[in-house]
Amino acid sequence: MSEFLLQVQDLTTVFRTSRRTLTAVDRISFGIREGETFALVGESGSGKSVTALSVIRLLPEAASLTSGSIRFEGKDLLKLPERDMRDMRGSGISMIFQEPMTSLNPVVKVGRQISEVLIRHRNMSRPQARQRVLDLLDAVRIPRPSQTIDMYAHELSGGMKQRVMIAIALACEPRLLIADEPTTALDVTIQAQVLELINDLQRQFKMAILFITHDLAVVKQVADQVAVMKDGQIVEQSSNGVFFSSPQHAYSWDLFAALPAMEKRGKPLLEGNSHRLHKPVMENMTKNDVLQVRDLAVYFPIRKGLFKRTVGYVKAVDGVSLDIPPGQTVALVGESGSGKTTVGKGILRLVQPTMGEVTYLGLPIHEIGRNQLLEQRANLQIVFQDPYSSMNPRMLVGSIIEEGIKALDVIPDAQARKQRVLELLEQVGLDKDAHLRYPHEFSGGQRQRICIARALAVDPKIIICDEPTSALDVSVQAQILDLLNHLQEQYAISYLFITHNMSVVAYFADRVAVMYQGQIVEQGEVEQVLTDPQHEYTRRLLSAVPKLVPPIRVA
Amino acid sequence: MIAYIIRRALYAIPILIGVNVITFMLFFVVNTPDDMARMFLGQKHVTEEQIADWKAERGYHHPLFYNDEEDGIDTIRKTIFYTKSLRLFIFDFGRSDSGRDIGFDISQRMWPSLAIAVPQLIIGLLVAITFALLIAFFRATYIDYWAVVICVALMSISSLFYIIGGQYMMGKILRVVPISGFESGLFGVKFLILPVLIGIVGGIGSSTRWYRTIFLEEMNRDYVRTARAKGIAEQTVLFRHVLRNALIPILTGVVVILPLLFMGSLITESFFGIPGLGSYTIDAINRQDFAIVRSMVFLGAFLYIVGLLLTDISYTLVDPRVRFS
Amino acid sequence: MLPGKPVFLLTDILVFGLMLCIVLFFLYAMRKPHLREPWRQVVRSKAGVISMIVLSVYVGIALLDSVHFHPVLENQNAASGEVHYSGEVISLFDEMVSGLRASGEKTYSAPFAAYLYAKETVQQDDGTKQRVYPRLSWGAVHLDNPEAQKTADVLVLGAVGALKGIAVWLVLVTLLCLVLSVRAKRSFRATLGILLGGRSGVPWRTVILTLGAVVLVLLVGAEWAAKYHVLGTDKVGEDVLYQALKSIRTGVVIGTLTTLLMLPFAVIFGIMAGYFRGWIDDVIQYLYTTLNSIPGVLLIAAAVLMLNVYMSKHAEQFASLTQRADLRLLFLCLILGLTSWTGLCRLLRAETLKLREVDFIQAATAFGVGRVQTIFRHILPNVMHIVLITLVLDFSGLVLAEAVLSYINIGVDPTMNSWGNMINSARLEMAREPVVWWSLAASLFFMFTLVLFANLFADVVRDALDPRLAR
Repeated sequence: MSEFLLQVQDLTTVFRTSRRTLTAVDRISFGIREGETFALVGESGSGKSVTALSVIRLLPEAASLTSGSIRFEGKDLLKLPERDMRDMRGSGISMIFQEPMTSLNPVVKVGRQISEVLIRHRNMSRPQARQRVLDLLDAVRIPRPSQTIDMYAHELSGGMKQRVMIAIALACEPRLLIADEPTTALDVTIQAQVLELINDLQRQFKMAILFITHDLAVVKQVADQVAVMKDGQIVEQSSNGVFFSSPQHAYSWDLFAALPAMEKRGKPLLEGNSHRLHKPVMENMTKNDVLQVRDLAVYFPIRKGLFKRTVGYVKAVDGVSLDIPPGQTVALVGESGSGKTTVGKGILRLVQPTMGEVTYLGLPIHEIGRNQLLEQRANLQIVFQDPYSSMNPRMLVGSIIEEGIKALDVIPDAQARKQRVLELLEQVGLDKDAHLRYPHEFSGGQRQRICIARALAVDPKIIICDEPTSALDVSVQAQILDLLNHLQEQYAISYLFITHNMSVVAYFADRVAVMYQGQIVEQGEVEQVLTDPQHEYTRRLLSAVPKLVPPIRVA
Repeated sequence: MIAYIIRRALYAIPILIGVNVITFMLFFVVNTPDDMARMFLGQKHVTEEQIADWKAERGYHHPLFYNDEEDGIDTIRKTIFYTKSLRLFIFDFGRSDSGRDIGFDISQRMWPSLAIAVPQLIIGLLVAITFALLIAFFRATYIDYWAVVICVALMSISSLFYIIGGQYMMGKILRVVPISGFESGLFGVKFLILPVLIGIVGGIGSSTRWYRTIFLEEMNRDYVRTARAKGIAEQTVLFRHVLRNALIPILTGVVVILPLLFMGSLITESFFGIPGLGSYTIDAINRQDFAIVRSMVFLGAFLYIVGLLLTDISYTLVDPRVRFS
Repeated sequence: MLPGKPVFLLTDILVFGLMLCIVLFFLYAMRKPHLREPWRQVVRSKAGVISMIVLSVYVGIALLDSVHFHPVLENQNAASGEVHYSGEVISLFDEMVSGLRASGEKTYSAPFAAYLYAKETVQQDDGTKQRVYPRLSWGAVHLDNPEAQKTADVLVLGAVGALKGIAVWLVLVTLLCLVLSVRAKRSFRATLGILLGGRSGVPWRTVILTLGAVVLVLLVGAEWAAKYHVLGTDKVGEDVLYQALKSIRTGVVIGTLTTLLMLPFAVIFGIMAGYFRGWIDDVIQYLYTTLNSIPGVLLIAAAVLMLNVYMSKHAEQFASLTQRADLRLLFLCLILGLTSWTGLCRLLRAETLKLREVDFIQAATAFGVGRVQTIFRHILPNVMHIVLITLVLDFSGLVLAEAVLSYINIGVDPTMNSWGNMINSARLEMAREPVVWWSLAASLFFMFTLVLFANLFADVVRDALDPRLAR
């Protein structure tokens, strides 16, 4: 008997499509001991999820295991007939997934979905199983289990759904739990609760966990062993303590370097990017704020009854006041549903504000007419979260960037406009020939650069960045943040940076406003708010963020 | 919920008015009753008198909207619009151009239509779902591939062929059940077998293929992966998880046509000599009986709207996610 | 160029207009990678190329059959130099198969028959009268003793046709191979090897085999049709093969023009409802729910009945029977379009509703791009795939619908050749003893082939164009 509960040897998984074969997992080996947490960390496309699905043999149909062995409790899972493997799933090895929203069956009551496992593996009768489900719901700290058991998934919040998923996974007390990015889709406060829950249950059930994540801070918090994956291979594997004090592989160092943190303020994240030590001095500009938001409110009516009368309002934004100083970055931070994105759209009048004032250099944006608003569009621009949906897939990159210049008639001359597009591409660090290509030919990070170029094209004074890095890997995020910093230095643009990521705020912003349920509960200088939060919610938020001080490379 | 249903029902009123206006335009404005009379009586050698008689016999002699020869309420009531269109709202279909009471005919003839349409729908649905489930179980294999090819081939065959071929097979070769005719009561079942069977075979290709798409779409969802991760057998996954979700679009798609089953099928009924509403309509079309066609248009629209309403209600019943306020 | 005075029927103009649109679209699409890529996927699939080849035969016949003219009258007065035209309207296709067109018999005859299907009283040489099956006046007249010679003759003709077919096929394959080897700058042999080995991206081997089958069927058929009634004759002695071929145009016209005619309404209303929402959406939704609520067949029946009344009232407006039938065909397309645009409209509305919330539309708004421009630049190109999918998906349904409608007498003009009319007139003959099956079989077979390959093609196109299925 080996010392490992799960031992993976030379595992290779390939995806076959009609045109090409893609090796997603390339001869990886690792072992997990009983009761320990083994974190597999890597960026998107590194093959970490495919590894997890390979272990439990739930790969999509296009994928196949071409070599290697997976030994679990001494048995080679790859040689097990499907029938025996089914006995293993849910009982010996369980799995929880990233998306709690879609991972539960919408038309089956959650209690039934949990008891299904018990009936399958433990031969329980329905009443027995129901009793056990109530215990399990209690164990995953769901309030009022006797009510929840008869609910449908859509009646539960994201965190609650993930708890139900955990209850399903733990119902038969498996020896190994595979957790595939279990908290990525959750807000940070919920993430903290779920991580704590998993940790407690692990001790209680004495199971091993294969924890898959992209978040180094989470790894630091939960893992015993760490393995870093890149391009289908494990490049480094060591214990938590060793890994976070002295990582060996260059790639690991790159990952750490790319992490934004308070300590790195004023310095570029990536080497080779121009240094920025201080904010540009604005002598020519007024010291006055470029944008003032007063009591901004956006309500969405709730209609009910026979004649769809408005019976109330969803107060997405409820009296928000903000000032954006010239050449500075104001972060608007909050969890999902806090209304932060609606603030951005309300300022630009992409959604019509219900009340409040938005003043740009003395001009009341909230009440000017269509034509006047059109003129001001050049000064206020926006960069969206999802670089995949923010560009028309049917247009050339050149035309996408040019569209704003043309529509707002910034540069009337066609030739000069073309020239400007090329300049912009260069400024955001893309090849000039990019303008003759289509968005789908670019990666997420490159697309976000194009979006920045598009916003930049009309010489805006303020760019509203709506979670511009949330969909990106941490190394790409570092590039984008460096780029934004560089542009701010050059053009003295102000950013309203909407985000949920505290470490980005700590690194990137000058001022921060914390949003909660449509209102700003606290705002001020970043150092002050993050080190000495006044409001109870801010404190809760900050304490939920997993802490990670990146190791410093000794030259 | 009740407020919602009432609102939907109220929404049906303007639609029915719209349907009424469209049919009125088609039947009385594009061509005047005079034109109809002329066509009926033959183009040449028609005297004004004959036309007037023809119109008076059928109640087309009133003006369209406003009768200035009458007084009071009758200026409105003695018009074609009132007698022929507005009366439809209280399901007073009036008399056909050949003088029969349409409302009575409809009440008589909808039962044979139902006798064909209901078993055809139910059995067809069961068969198609079963096939689709089987195909989905063997997805991405040769069985799946050829099943889809067969489905496409089946749906490429004209429905006329199914009927003619089926009648020929039964009538000349097998001679097991009668190929046409109708009788009420239990004894009449033998007349139903062939039309029902042909209806099912004719529709099996497209519905199986459609349901297969729905099943495959559901099978790619995350919750199916969750179910597999529980160690549940593939058949159980299919039946307990996939089928339940897939039935929502399938059943609600069926609900919308439920009321229309009363209308029967034009082709099937005329081929098999079923005295239902379908053959009633066909006969009316062939005899150019405008009054009946007009009534059927209104009835069909009404039943469709009822179907829409039922669909909405059935969504709230089968899908726990949908709650109307 | 034409052997007569051209006549432009409305549907001809529309059909050729549509062809022009398709050609222009392809030329345009070839220059845009995102438009080209899906079509590349279509020609890379076996089902795609097979159905394209078969469909192009159908469309080719339909197009030939859409060039109409008044033919020059025979036995002209040569001295005057004046050219007289016949009052009759025929098409280029009629001219090509003039043998079939003129090959009338008295009544039914079976496929490849030498004798009529009904007995007639014939006066013998010796003066006695006998009830016999008389010889046909056109079919198999070249045989002295059909009983003995026919089988051999049919086989020989078939073999000749097959040989011709193989010869034509070989020429085609060589040409194809030459073009490909020049384009890929490879040797002829190497190209041939790749083609026959099935190692090419476009499944050329399948193309070659399908071409072979099509050429073979066409040429063997042509060889037989020159001497026999391959599919027999109908009640009035007209060649059934000719009827079936003539019906192709009707089917193709209905399948394409209907969608074409309803397209502008569906696209404009659908996008407007989705983009502007509010009262515009309400009005458009009301409009299509109302139209949709009337059962399609009944609306068509009502409209066609009214058309009948109109046409009998205004009989003088129609110059010829052909024109009258053509107008009726166009009207049928219109009314079918009226009943079917609601589906596409609803799809487009839903898609536009989704699109208008997508970030790139929001970005356009943030740049102050106007509404009309947003619709044309951002929305229309991103819903175009739905339009194209609908176009090919609806085709087969419409061809089938034509048959049913003609069967219940609310379809095309009874004088027009169509599969529906053929079935309608042939169905009663099923009760005859022995049965007359060929009219029915021919129309159903021709219709089935067209619809089957249209369905297969539609499947491939949908798979290629639908972004949800891709990736």
